Amino acid sequence: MRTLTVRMLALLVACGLPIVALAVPQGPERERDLLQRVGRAIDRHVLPALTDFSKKAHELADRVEAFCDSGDPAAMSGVNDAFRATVLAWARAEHLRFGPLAGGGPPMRINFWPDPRGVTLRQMRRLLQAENPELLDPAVLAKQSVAVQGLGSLEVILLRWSRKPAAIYEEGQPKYDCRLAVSIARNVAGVSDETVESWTREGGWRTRFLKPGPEDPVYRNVDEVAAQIVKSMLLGLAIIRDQQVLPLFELATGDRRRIKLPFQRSGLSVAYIQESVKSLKQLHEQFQLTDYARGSTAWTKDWVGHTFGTLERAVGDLKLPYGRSISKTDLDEDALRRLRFYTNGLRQVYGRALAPAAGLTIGFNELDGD
Amino acid sequence: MEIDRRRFLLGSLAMTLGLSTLKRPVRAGGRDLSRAAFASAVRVGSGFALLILDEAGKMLREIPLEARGHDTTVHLESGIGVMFARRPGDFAVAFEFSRPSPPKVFRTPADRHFYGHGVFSNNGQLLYATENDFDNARGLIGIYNVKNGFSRIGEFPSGGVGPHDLHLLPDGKTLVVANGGIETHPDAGRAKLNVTEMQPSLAFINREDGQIIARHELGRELHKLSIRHLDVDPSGRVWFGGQWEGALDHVPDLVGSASLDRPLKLLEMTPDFSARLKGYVGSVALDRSGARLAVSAPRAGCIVYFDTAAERFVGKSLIVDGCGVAPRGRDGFAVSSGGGEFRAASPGREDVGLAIHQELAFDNHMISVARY
Repeated sequence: MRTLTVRMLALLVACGLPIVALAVPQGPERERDLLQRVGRAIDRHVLPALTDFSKKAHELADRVEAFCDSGDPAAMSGVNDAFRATVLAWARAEHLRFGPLAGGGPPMRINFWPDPRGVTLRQMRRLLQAENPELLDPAVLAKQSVAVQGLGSLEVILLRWSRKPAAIYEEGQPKYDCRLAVSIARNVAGVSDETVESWTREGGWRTRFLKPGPEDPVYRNVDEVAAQIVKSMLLGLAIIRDQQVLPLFELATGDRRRIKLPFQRSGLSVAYIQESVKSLKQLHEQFQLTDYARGSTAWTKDWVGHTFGTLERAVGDLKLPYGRSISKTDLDEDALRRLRFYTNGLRQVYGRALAPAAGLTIGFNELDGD
Repeated sequence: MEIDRRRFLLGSLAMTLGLSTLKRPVRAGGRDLSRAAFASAVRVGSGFALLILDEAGKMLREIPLEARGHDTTVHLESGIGVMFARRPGDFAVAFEFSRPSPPKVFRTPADRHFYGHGVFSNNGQLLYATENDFDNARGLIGIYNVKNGFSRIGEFPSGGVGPHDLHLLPDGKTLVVANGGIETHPDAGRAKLNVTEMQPSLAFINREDGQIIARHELGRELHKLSIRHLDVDPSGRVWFGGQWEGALDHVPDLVGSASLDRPLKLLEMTPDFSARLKGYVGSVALDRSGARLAVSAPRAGCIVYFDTAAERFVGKSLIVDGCGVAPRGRDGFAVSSGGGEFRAASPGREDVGLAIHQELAFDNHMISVARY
């Protein structure tokens, strides 16, 4: 039987047919189904996440501006709350790096991360010292280094204020710090507007995802848009694994001495990872590729949802210190090993079991070439 | 490529416990390594290996790797090959491609990592590898003494950030280096850190003193076109393939040529040609005469061919996740894919499927060990 299966597979490959064609519904029915799933993913996950981020980014900009105009240090907590909300909204959207967020530039303008060499802090120190008034115009700021344009640079200013309130106002008037913070927040809101607009305008990315075709060089057919949703899931899991879980794990095992996590200085790292996981879980719930699991992959049907839940709880159990560097003694190596296991496992199952089960090719070279 | 629960859990457990697939023995299986014709990195299950194949894609030898490999370079006269770790790996594996002797692993210093490509000097005594001085975001060429167990004996700047592929020109003296322009750091995994400020270039460097002889750049409007993979024809003309880091709605031409005294020139294609390649070239290879250039586009599932004299597109092969290309025969190519396919291909002729290795995925690059 095994020999026969291998021969059949070989024949299919030789004929240029996908190996997994046997396992899934064929033809128009499958295309309709996949397109419906893509539609749900776009309308119930992608657009709500990006729209919510845009809303939060505007609220943040308004709060920062009102704070600077008021001259009232007591309003600072409102700014911090809005900053937190915007950061977590970005955590829920960070994996959506396709359409207008493809290509690395726009996401880096929203938040320059990872930043292993501390470029944001270095450039922001220079900027705050130089006090170039031109940068108070968000349009001018948008042409500067991405390291000073986004949420990470705003974090630098907010932390400076918490340590040095005198940097905020002078005789009731906002100082350069404050006006630059407004410029940065407005810039982030502007990028979020452009993103939402690119998705929702007539003939925009939403339309292209729901009506792929040979005339569209980027998404020529249903398989390509469905594969893009899967790649977004894989990217999100890779970000969590490589930029968040792995540094913690390697610190716990002694393979690294110092690590940097997103928004660590603001004490938002755990919440950031949690929101990222929740968002990927929500994407899975909308896309439900596990419906295609058959035969030897049938076990993934319950496993994926269950593992997302376990991952979410495991991240919630992380206790990281605030106001100082994370050290090896803060960490539970076994718990982090499990976190690595879950993120790796979800990524493998999505990319190497569920996508093929749905007849989608997520190529080894295509996915992460060099 | 389906995953059953038992295999998945066992594989994950092995990873979790840190068990290394390197413990497996080198396998030559009594096969005749004198027939070695190609080498490629592969993924096998959840592990990685270097494969040596014969002309028909039959596996002759498998050397397990500690992590994912990238490209291989060979010195034909001495029968030695070296496979480099994929970015940000720090290991390389030297092996004899026609004898089953044990491979030798060597590494970069702790503050460097490999970028996946290297080249031997013509006499086989020195090995040059693209490397990253990651704390200073500086591209380097590391120099290794082959006879002395691949000890690292020096380095010089690559002339840019993120050097990737490099080759030796026919003069035996000049290295040509594709500085992809992309800054990375091992603490950030494989994230690209400077896409908005990339400055890719093609640098020609005197390998004897490290002096940069020429350095060609694309214009500002093309600064997001990362020059990554190269091949050199017998006249010293360098052919390159790029990867576009900008929006996929505006993808420029991706393939071009240059030489020491001629600037970068992109092959002009129809407006949406490069968008249909998804802005991404995975490998480039000239046939033995240098008359045809094969360029793989794994995201588009095809290999495209160019006539180098006429500088025009002459055909394509459709192959899902096809990426490895190497010269095969007088005027053709061998092509490999992430689906384990190995084919003979050439423009104007039907591809011939020669082997299917269901259990493995061929990685980005394949090289001919008979070409050098």
